[in-house]
Parts: sequence; C-alpha cells; structure tokens
Amino acid sequence: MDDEKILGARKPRVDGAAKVSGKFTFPTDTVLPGMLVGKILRSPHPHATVRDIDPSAARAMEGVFAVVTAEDFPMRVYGQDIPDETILATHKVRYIGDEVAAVAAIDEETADRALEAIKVDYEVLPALLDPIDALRAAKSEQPVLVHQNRPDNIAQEYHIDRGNVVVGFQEADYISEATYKTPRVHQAYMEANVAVAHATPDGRLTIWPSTQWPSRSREDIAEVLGMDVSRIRIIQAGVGGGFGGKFCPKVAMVTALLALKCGRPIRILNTLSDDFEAARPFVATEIRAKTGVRKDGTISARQLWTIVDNGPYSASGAGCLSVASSRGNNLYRMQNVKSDGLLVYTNLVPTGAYRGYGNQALAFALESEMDSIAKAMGWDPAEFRKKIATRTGDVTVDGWKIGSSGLVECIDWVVEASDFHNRRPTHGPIRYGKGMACGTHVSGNIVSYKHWDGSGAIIKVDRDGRVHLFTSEPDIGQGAFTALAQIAAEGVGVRYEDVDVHDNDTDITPFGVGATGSHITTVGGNAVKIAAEKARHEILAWAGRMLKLAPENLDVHGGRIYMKAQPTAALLSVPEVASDYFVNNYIPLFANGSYRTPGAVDKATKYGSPSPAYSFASHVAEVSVDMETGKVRVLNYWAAHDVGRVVNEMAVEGQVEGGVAQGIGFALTEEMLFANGKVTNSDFLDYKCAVSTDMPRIHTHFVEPIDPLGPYGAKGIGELAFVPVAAAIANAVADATGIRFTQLPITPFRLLEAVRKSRTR
Amino acid sequence: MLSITLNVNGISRKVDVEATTTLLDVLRDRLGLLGTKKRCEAGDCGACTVILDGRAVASCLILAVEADGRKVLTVESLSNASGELSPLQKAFIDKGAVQCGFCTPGMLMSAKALLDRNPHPTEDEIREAIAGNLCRCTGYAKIVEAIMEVSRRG
Ligand code: FES
Ligand code: FES
Repeated sequence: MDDEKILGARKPRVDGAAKVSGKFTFPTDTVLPGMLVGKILRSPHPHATVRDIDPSAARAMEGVFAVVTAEDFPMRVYGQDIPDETILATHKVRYIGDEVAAVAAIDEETADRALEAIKVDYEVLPALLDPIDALRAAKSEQPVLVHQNRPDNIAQEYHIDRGNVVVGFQEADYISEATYKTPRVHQAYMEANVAVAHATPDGRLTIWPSTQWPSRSREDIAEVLGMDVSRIRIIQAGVGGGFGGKFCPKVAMVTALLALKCGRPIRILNTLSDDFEAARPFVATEIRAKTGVRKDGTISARQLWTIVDNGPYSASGAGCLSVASSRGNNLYRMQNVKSDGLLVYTNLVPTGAYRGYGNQALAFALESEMDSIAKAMGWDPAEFRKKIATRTGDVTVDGWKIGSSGLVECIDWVVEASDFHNRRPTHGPIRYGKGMACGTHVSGNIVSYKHWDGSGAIIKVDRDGRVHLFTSEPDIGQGAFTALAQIAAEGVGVRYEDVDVHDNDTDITPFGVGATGSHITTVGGNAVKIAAEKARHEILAWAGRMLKLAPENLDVHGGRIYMKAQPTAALLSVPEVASDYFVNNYIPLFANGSYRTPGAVDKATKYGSPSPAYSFASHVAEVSVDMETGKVRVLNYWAAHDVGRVVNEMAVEGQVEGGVAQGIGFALTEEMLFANGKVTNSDFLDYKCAVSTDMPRIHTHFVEPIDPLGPYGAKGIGELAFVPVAAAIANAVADATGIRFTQLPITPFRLLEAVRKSRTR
Repeated sequence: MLSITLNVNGISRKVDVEATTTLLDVLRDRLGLLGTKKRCEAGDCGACTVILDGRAVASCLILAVEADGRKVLTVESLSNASGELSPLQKAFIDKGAVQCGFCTPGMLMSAKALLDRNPHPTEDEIREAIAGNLCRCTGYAKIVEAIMEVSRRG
C-alpha cells in the first residue's frame, strides 16, 4: 500500500543506486571531448613582490594552448564578504601556493613542462606566519603588511556589547577565564576540487565546478569576469563532500580564464596537496573566554576575545569570525555579553569555513568553560546546563527568536543513556572519563549572501505523473536531494519514489543560497513545500474539472485522488490528471515556490534573528586515556539532537555519525603543520582523519519539537552534528585525567607533556 | 609503450601503456571505468580500491604492467548484466552507508574482498578490512552495519 509515511521514514537516498554501481558522475568524472589539461603555477614564497613574469617560452611550446597571467585579463578584486583577492596574483604573492599563472596544454606532462618554463622574478618579503606577529608587524617601525591598503593587517573586526558586563562580573560569585586554541584543520572532503569549463563561440561560458553554492558561483564568476550572468551556465552533479571547504570559486575562475583564452574545453583538477595547500582549510582560532556565574547557577556575564588567523585572503573568514565570537552565547540564558574579535591577515594558507563556521572552535572554548565552572562550584555539569538552557519562546542575548528548543530533553536523554554519573574504574595506566558538551546552530542564515537569503523551487508534474523538482540547493553528499524529494512528495501528495530531483543547472534551476548555514532542509525545504503544495492545489483543481466535483472536497495522497469523505475510494490517479492536463494545455503542470527567512539582523549591533529556526544538541563522550602512552580512545558516544521534525531518520543519523567522526579528528589528531609557511603534512598519511577502527559505538537520539517555521516542523542538522564533539571529548579527557586541555588536538605528545607538568607541580 | 592484457570484470582488454602508468589510470582514463575513484594517489585513502586476483588493492599503487595477465574487478562488476544490484550494494543503500558516495566504490570492493574470503566476519574484522578506506561523511557506522547485514543474510 502506498499509504506509508514519507516524512520521518528511513527512505534510501535518491542517488543511492547510481553511487553503489559506480555510475554516478561526480564533478571529477566530467570529461568533455578534446578536453585540455589546465594547471596552476603557484608561488614558492609565503610573501614576495612579483617583479616580472615571462610566459613567452611556455607560450611557444608545442601542445600549449594558453598561458594566462594577471596581464591577460582585468583583475577585479573580489571576496566572499571582504574583497581582497584577484584570480591571479597581481603585484604580490601572499602565501606558498598563491596563484601566479595558469596553462592549458594537451596533456599533463606538457602542462608541467609549461609551468616550469614560466619565469617569475620574485623579491622575497618578510613573511607573517602568526596572527600575533602580524598584528605586531603592522605597528613596527617598518611595517610589514599583507595588503597595502590594510594598515593593521586586520581583515575585519567584530564587536558586540550587550547588557553590562562590568556589572555582570561584579555580580559574579565565581569567574572562570582561559584561552583556547584550535589549529588550521582541513575539511578533507574525499573528492578533489575541480572545474571543467568551455567557452563556446555563442559567447557563453559553461562551467562544471565542485561547489557548495552553484547559484552564487554564477553571480561571483560573472562579476569577476565582467560578464552578464546569463552568459554563464553552471552545471553541477553531486559533489564528493564539501563541509564548508568548497565555497571558494578560485579553481573555477582560473579554469574559466583558460577556457576563455583557448576556446577549448579544459579542466583543472586539484591534487590532494593542492587541496591542502591552496583550497581554503578552516581558520585557526584563539579564543579567550571569561564567564561569571552567580551562586544560583546563572551566568552573570560572558566576555570573549577572539583572534582568527585568516591567511591572506578572506573567503569565509568574516563569517568564521562572527560565529566564533558569538554563537555559543545563544545556547544558554544570559544578558550581559561582550565580544571583541579580530580577523587577522597572515601569510599562511588562506582559509575557509568548516562545518559550523567557527561554532566548533567556540564550543570547544565555552563548553570546556562550562565544565570548569561546574567543577569549581561543585555543580553537576548536566544540571548546570539544564537550568540555564535556552528554551522554546526565548529571545536569546543576540536576539534569536527560538521557535522551538529541545535542549533540555537532549541533555536528559544523554545523561540517562550514557549513565553519565557513573565511571569505569581505573585499570592500570588506563583511566576512564565521560564528558558532556552542548551546541546550537542556525538552520539558514540571512547574512549569508548579500540580500539573497532565500530559496526558490520549481515543481513540474510530467505527463506520466512523475514529479520533477528543480532546486538550486546542491547535494554535496549530505542528502539534500533526498530530504527535498521527501518534502516534495509530501507536499504534492505522491509517493517518494515518484519524485526526481534535477541536477543544478543555472539555465534551468532557480536560486538557492547553497550548502551553507545548515539552510537547505529548512529554507530550501520551505520553498519546495510551497511549490509542492501549489502543485497539489493545481492537481486537485484539474481533477475537480475532470470529475465535475468541487476541488475543496478532494484530496490526494500517494498519487491517489479521492473524496475527503471517502479516503479509501480512489477516483483518479495523479498520472491520469497530469496526462489530461498536458494534452489540454500542451505543457506539464508547473508550480513555483519561494521562501525568504523572516526577520533581520542589525548591521551595526548584529542583534536579530538570522534564521527561521534553531537546532540544539547535547553530546556525551566516554574516553579511555592511557597515562603511559598518552593515547586517548573514544569508547562510546551519545548524541541527542533537536532537529525539529525528522525528515529522514537514516539520513540525520548519518549526519550525526559523520559529524562525530570529524569531531574525533578535530579533538585528537587533525592539525595542519607548517614549516616556514609551507604545509608539511599535505597527505592522508600525516594528516590523520578518523578511520573505521578509531570510531566508537555512536548512540543517536532525536527529540522532535515541531518547529513553527520549519517545513513540516523540520530544522537543520549538518553543522551542529560536528559542533560539540571536540568539547565533549576534551571534557571527558579532563574527567579522566583531571587535566584541562586548552589546545586542540589532544595528541599523545601533548597529553604526556601535560601529565608530566601536572606531576611536577 | 608496452602492450598488456588485463582481465577486467571478466572481459579481456588489451592496452598499450607506459611503464609508469598506474592501474588506476588505465581503468579510468583508458577503459572509461570511472567508478573507481582517484584521490590521494599514494595508497592512503582507499578510494581507488579494486580487487586484483582476489585481493583488495589500491590501484593507484599498482603499475599497469604489474597487472598484466591478471584478473581485476572494479565496482562496475558488482551489479549483474541487467543492472541488478548485488546484496552488498543493496545493503549499502538500505542501511544508509552512502552519503557523498566518493568512498563507496572503494569501500564496496574492500568489503567484497573480505566477504569473499570470510563470509561471516566479526565487527572488528570488518572495521579492520575497511581501515584503509577513508570516509569523511558517514563515520563508518552504517558502512559496518551494511556489511554485517550481508554477512548475516549470506
Ligand atoms: S587514490 Fe589510491 S589510495 Fe588514495
Ligand atoms: S560517503 Fe562521502 S566519503 Fe564516504
């Protein structure tokens, strides 16, 4: 029977069969006839003046179709939020890897030889390899500046001041303060960054990139190339993971330059080391957090000082700065908050976002603080959090309007399921501990892209009744298409299996902000729901015409149309109605939907509600720590999430499990290492992501407050799954060892160092 | 150029290769078998895993000439001629073991090699068998579950 439920069901992915049979076309599988190989010449210096580039020898080589430098195109300055970048370096290079020139050649070897033949005359400048040094260098007698027009080496400042922290700290019975550090880490998506581009004689430029925001890519690329948006077409199949690391359009832009120059299809495919050294890993952060509490268990004041190492170009830096300077303040009730953050230019690899946009770094600081406070005050860490947890109906300190919060229920579940208050006894050198951390995140963020904070959707009901969904929210592996197909099926009144989701193609699909800010299910989903419900309305209207019945008395479910009074007697099917509609109108039945997040955030004070809905989570990690080897193992993991209405239980579990795996890496092993500005571990041997044998058993649970603004009550999950993990593990390590780690990752070396220090103390 | 013959998914294929060409590049670029994925090119991620004479190997580390005369199975061999999916593939879909899917072909081949030699592995044996296959999306939980499911039913 087709009456089974669609929302909340464990529906298999829409692209599952293609993916398990090796037939799915990823961006790296896009091959065009006669496609050339594009390669990028990168700077070997972290900071240098480019005195001269001589590409003549490379241009003269057989098999070389184009060589481009900053001389060949007008170099417009662009940036995701802060304009500070050009496609190719103009007068200066600012990190090891900076794009200096690019070649298009017949094959790999020729391209490599062409790169070698380009002569670049550099004058090496002092390099700023640390944000504190960079701040100092700007003030020195002979200032060293990453960008000449940024006299402080500061890309952006962030300030908020709410209530009165001075009074708040005076009221405090206890004040906790510490500084926390997280390193540059890499999103380590499995599929490389890539772009294929083809400029055709009709003046059009088609690009097959790997991006988390196809709609925005078109806008950005058009702007930087000085082309009309309609001349550019972005086509994108599913992407092999992004996690915040595939916003930067650099590879697509360089490929576009080559395509325009040589008029042949061309591809630039990053190697793994290109991705590590030049594809926007996550910012490094330093967060000083000061929290005052009253004896009654409430927070009297919170103050933050955040320094974010941006690298030379900003990409997602501004977003990371703002999230790392504020987000966690909305998890608990508090009135007095002050935050001052700096996004600092350095000559290390430029950065980007990573699953949470800085929320994970701030959670590491603040949730560690919560445990330190609980310990100092003799409070139970779970009860302390519960008492001040943000609840449904709250307006938080930053102005978030909380339509639904299941935070308390999440905490209750993890406490119970993990037997939080009991520990395994110490066993030889092995100590055991449990740690809790909570988190909250947006489901869409209206400050993401200019004034465009919404999403559009088009539904087409084909002549045979199949429902085609056109959305510009990309599936980067997270399951966006599956969730949106479920929402479409529910809205139209057909079976999930009757829905096809069209690949992103800016010639056809509408606008979508993209895979950012955990926005797709909620904001994209609302657009799909509106379009789908309009299609349902049209189907019933046409069915009424066919049946000579009032449409108000009809309904449709599972593709069957019936009288509301007699739901078991199907009168017509959706295919019958769709066919009749088509032959009478000569077009399929179309319906559009669009959704824009209500509300606003004040530019100056940053006060306001940026998202239609807010998700909450509480996690508990159980770890063992070997005091002799320094090895931390995560033994068990409990994660309770409030995602509003669960659209697909299997998919949200998968998001949580993947988030935990990335969190374990962030907590214990992942760290990009540098020597003189050069990444020294740009491979998967030395950059250690969690593998199957590192993983604990993960116990997931979902509480489902129906959110008033989410589609059918649904909220976002992607980023929040990752946000509390490192903090929960750090708290578990502190519980096991009595040592508070303020720097990630907690490697065996750092752990043994800390043990040694604590013993000599 | 050296002329070699590979038995790929049951079909004998003659190809001319350079001494330095990898098996991975032959599969993807010469034979158009794009199901096998390329990522690290250093044996560290498992995306390129294929089965060579019954053993799961990283095809980026195998020179094409080393595979001369040998049997290679890629992800494309798992479904039958009419496109029907194998129980292992079905379990990956039904258990939610696929997200972005970029690790999936390699995972499937590691899992198949394991199940072929050990039809009823323990959970630890499964985790061990896929420890060389990085997955950045799933946290491995549902992949392990899917393989367990096949072993239970098989
Ligand atoms: S591509 Fe072969 S192991 Fe990574
Ligand atoms: S499913 Fe994306 S890497 Fe495994």
